Amino acid sequence: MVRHPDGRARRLLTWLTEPLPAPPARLRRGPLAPDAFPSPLRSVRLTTALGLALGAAFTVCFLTGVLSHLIQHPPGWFRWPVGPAGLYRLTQGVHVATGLASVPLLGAKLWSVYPRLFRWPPVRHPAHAAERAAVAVLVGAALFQVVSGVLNLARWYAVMPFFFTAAHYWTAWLLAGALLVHVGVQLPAIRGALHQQRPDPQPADRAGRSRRHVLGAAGAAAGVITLATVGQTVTPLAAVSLLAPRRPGTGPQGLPVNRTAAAAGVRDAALHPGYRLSVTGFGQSLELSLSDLAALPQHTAVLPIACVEGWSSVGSWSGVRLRDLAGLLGADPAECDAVVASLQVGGRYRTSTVASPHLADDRTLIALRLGGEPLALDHGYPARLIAPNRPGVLQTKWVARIDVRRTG
Amino acid sequence: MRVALIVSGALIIGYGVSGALADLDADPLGMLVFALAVLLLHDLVLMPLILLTGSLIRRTVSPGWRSTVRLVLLVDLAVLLVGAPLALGFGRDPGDPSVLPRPYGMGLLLIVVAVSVTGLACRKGIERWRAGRRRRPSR
Repeated sequence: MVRHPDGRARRLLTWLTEPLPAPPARLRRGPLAPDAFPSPLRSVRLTTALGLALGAAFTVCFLTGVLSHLIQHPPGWFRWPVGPAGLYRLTQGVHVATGLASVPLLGAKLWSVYPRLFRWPPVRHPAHAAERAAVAVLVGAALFQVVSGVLNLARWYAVMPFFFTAAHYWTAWLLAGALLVHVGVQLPAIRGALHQQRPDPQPADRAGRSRRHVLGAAGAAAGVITLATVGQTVTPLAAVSLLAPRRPGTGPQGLPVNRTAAAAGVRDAALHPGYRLSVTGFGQSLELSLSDLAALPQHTAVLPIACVEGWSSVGSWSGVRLRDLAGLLGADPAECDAVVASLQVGGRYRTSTVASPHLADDRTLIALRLGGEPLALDHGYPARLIAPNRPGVLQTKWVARIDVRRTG
Repeated sequence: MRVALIVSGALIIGYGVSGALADLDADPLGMLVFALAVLLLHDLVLMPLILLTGSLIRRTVSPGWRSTVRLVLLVDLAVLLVGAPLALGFGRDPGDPSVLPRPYGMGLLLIVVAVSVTGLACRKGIERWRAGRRRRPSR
């Protein structure tokens, strides 16, 4: 027997929208009662306005976050420019500031739709159950991203039973997908709210006024949070950013540190008098002592350390150009890239790859000095990589080895 | 349009789930536990407390002052949620004083006080200005 495919699809559609038996009415109490949420401040237009603001904020976070992921794990097609030198810093400052500003927006949005969590009947038909499950994914993913992001800034990892970076990245995709599904489901309501005739503002438009009050309060909260934290990268605001997790200028040699030499387990190796930097490639291997490095032409570059956590701080770095070191092997920097490895024996960020545009740039240094002094141990003594427009985790510290190879 | 949004969204959710499952670092079970914990804390603890505060405002604050009190409390709550993990300081590292270098508890207190005072003072100012405008035409 051959079933007609149209018939099967129609049966599925019928099943999906077939009403389920109503639950007993006596269960309709507490938050499920019809008058459980009396606030007159809620409205579809308020929810839509908050949703649009939150959607914009999440889009900015998603794009800047995926960008950072691509820079750190570049697929073959991806090219990240060497300048402007502060572009990465800007994108990640925006990522964290927007994420923090979305805390009150998300709170207000969830408050405005909270009664829908207890709507009656809880499930009308199977398709309705699927829609509610998608909303649960959306709300769960949104809270996950915002809360884990705040906890990461506070470096409170004990309460997160996962590796933050990987979990935050994959949940971002989950949130993006759930947001698209949600916009698709709610599109008629969104369109309706946007095209609603603006009521006459003159005679005490109370609904409009209370909507503006809630929006204004959420916006004010976002503004205060931004002001209180953005000084971790916008230096002139450092004095008023009382909640900034980092302070530019605070740390050894005036620069914050993410991973100390002790935490990386490189203290002894970094301070060992027999330290040699090995530069290999094109069939050669050079072993350079600290005095060999100091004898090479020295250059200075003023560049920021920009962390994916949104903080940044500018330093004046001096040392040997990476392109000069590649030149010692007879390599053409424009056609090569370099793998820079740390003295660390393990860890996710032990090595980083410097692509040819960065390798060829004059500002890309194996820095020996910061602010005119030898590097502090926690900033990568005896030698570290510093290059324009790169994430802090890729500015390898305690450099032990540089492998130059033809780009291919 | 709607179908395209829903289908592409479902595909992206699938990509996120499969990526998390395949990524050894991500620990999907830990992620699920954490997501459920924040969801339940939000829906069953934080939101009821906010609603309770809202109903207290309706009962105890005069209508003219309600929006100001709501604004001040909303801003203070949002700042507290962001600042509390910093103020609790579990992320501090004795080996790296450049991590969380500020006195966040004090900072939080200062902001809450400043927001409250500013909000209430502005409201008072607006009331006086309005009262002045009402008096002027009668002169």
